[in-house]
Amino acid sequence: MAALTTGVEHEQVIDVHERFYEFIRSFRDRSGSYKYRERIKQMITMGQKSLIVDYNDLYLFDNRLARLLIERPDEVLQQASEVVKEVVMNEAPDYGETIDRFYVRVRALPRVVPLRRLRSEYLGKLVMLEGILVRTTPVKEKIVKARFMHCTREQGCHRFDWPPEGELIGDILERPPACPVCGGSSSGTFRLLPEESKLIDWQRIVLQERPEEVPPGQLPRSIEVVLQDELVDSARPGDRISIVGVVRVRPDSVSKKRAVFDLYIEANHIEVSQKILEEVVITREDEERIRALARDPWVRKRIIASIAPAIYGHWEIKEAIALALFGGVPKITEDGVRIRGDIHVLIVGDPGTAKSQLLQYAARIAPRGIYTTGKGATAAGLTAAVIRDKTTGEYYLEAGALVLADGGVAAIDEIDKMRDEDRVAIHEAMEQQTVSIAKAGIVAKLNARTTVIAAGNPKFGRYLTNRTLADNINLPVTILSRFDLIFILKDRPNPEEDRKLARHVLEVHRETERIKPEIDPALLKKYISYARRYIRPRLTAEASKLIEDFYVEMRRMSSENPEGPIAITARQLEALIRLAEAHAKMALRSEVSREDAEAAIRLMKTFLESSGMDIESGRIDIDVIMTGKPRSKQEKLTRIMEIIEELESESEEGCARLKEIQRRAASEGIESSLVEEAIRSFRRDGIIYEKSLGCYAIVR
Amino acid sequence: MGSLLPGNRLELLLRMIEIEYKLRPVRIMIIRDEKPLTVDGQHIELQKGIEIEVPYWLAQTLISEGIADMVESPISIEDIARVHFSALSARTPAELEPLPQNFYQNAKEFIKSLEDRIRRELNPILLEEKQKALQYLMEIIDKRLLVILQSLRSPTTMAELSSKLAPEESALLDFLYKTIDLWKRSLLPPQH
Repeated sequence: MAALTTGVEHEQVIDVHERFYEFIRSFRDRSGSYKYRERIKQMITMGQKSLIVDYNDLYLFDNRLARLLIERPDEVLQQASEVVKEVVMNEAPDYGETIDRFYVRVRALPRVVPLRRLRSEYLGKLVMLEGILVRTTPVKEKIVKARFMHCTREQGCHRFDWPPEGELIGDILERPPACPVCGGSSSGTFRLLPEESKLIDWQRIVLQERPEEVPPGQLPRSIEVVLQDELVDSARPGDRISIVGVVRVRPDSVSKKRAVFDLYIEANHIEVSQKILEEVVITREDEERIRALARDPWVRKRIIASIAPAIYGHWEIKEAIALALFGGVPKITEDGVRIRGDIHVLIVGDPGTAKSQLLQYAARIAPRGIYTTGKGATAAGLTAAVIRDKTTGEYYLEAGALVLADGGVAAIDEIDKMRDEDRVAIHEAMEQQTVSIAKAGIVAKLNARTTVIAAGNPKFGRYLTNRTLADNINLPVTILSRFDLIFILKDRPNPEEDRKLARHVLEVHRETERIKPEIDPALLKKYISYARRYIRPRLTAEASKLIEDFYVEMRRMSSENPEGPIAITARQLEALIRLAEAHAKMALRSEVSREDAEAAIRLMKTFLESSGMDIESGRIDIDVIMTGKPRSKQEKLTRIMEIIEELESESEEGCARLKEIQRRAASEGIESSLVEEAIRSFRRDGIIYEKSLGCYAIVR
Repeated sequence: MGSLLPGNRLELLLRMIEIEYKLRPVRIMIIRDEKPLTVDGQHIELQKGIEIEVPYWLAQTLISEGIADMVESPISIEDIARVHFSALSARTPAELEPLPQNFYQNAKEFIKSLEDRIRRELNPILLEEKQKALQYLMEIIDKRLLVILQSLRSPTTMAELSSKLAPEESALLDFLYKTIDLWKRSLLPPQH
């Protein structure tokens, strides 16, 4: 067995085979058990062919061997693989014989190389990279040992394996220069026999820098990673992963210049990060500061005041944003049903009411925040896309913003300006918290457990108080109803308020440095991250009772008058629970108290009174949001439908004339503009048709 | 301290760093009900289940008496190995990484705690762990010392390095710089 030398400190000779064998045989963890002997036994029992080695263990056992592994991974991993085969052959020879090659996979290297710093100096070395998986190709099969058939006139046909024993095929499969059986080189024909060759699973993925690591104003960097054998399909687009692999190089396929090469990684091990916002590092000192902050009885007020301090007022919206940043507690029931914990917030406001600023601030302090605007986002960009690589022609599945912000916050500005077909794409992400795609033969479901904070302008330029919310904003009710909280920002002149706002804005411009958030944004980010990671508040009996009473009371008001509007539905009940949980999380408390439930109810009431109010009846009507039409309007529409039916049966021509409908509707107090609107909508929905000019009949 | 000899000053600085380490506040969890304590005029409740902040030296005493447990996890051999890896990977002063807070003091405490356990448990794994920790610590010190000595030749490197040094290392660098400066000045003729 060839001994390798390490260039670390002094030139030392290491017998890798012997040292690695010794490592597996004798390494004991703190409990005294032989960790890797046990792992190999487990590997045999589970029918696996990879042994996962913690780099730290190897380093503690023999730091020279561990360093050599980083410097010359190909040789060390090859010999380590042989050692594993040897050990398996001793333990379970039957199993060992069935596996051609065992893999030693190394996890948790002490240093992560930033994707941006990956250069040729790392070529051929073992590195660890972290990022988001943005693209994957379907799994393919790669030949590692080819079987050729060589036929000559003199000697007939014979088969042989290529390349010879101990070597594997690289990226390019080349015809053997000579036949190893007959020695003939140019004479005869060589034919590849793919069915008889040895193949392994192969997949190409693209790892991209995490959005929070990209320097401002720069494009995120990415690198291709090749996964083989057991590693394929071990992560999905949108997953945050850490990869240990060897840096390789291959010709740049775009450039014709042969001297230009691309780096890529041949993966050795992949680890999918738990979705607990690991990218925000919280040190022991940070934890101390976070805990100290949580002890402050005014912590919630301080957090809310720290959200966009340069923006005057909007306390309730800032509170809603703060609650959305913390989020409720996601739950998974025994039967696998997932109940979202994310709180979606929509801000509808007149121009110049600082909506965008609030959104940008929210995305900045969210531990995993992405900011995008309606005009600059497409359905594919928001959810997922199947794209074709120009150079290789391969199809890739690429994750969009909502998938990339999985576990974090997506701030979508100008949501009303989005094209309808793009906007519907976020339906599934908002409620089911997944993104499904079935294009170009790629069928996938990606996680998008993302909080959506969106903002939009009113349809008519300014918010018209005499119209309903659905009339005022260019958003389908299917999306509106998915928001837990909707706030309306109306720009109404008010001398007292205007003076205060003017003073605030002038102060911001005059003494910018004086506008400081109550809590430093970096600490607040860590605080939010800490709460999202570790705090899982549970509802106390008292809080549950309060929410239950509120819900029942609101429903009772509706049930007393069966013709009256429905004030609240189960969707708002779930939203109330989420808001109460988020309120408890803000103070890092493990229980949802009465105070939290009260705060949630207060916010919900504000939201219902501002957005869910039927402007005609002056009562709260959740149908304004859930269906876009208040109960009073629904009743009128039903009546118009009945009038058309009546007139149709009364008339000889078998249809109802518009004038007649309007006259009869007016006698019942229904205005003719609503009749016209109803007819337009009934025709659009295919309920009625125009039988003759100005005469309508019901589609049967 | 102006009149102290440079060597004594270094010793004093190192002693102060140690005292500062022992006085730093740490969080402990009380695991047994005891009568309240008054330390330096401050009243400390020792009620089972509560988490309190006390100076490190007091925490050590309460832990050794079985009254409290440390909340934060202590340094481990894996932590030392990680620092060893990064220290030995640095080829230039620019590549040197800062040490975790209180690294030398924590590592010293860790080795001391291993020695105590070895005396009680006679466990060969602990003995091996202690030897490894000691070896790594020595190699970390040697490597970082080399970088500190190299930096003395260039004031710009020294400036860049100073933010990455532990307080113990900064004290040494400062001492060496001043000593060399004194030595140089004594060799050169007085400048007017």
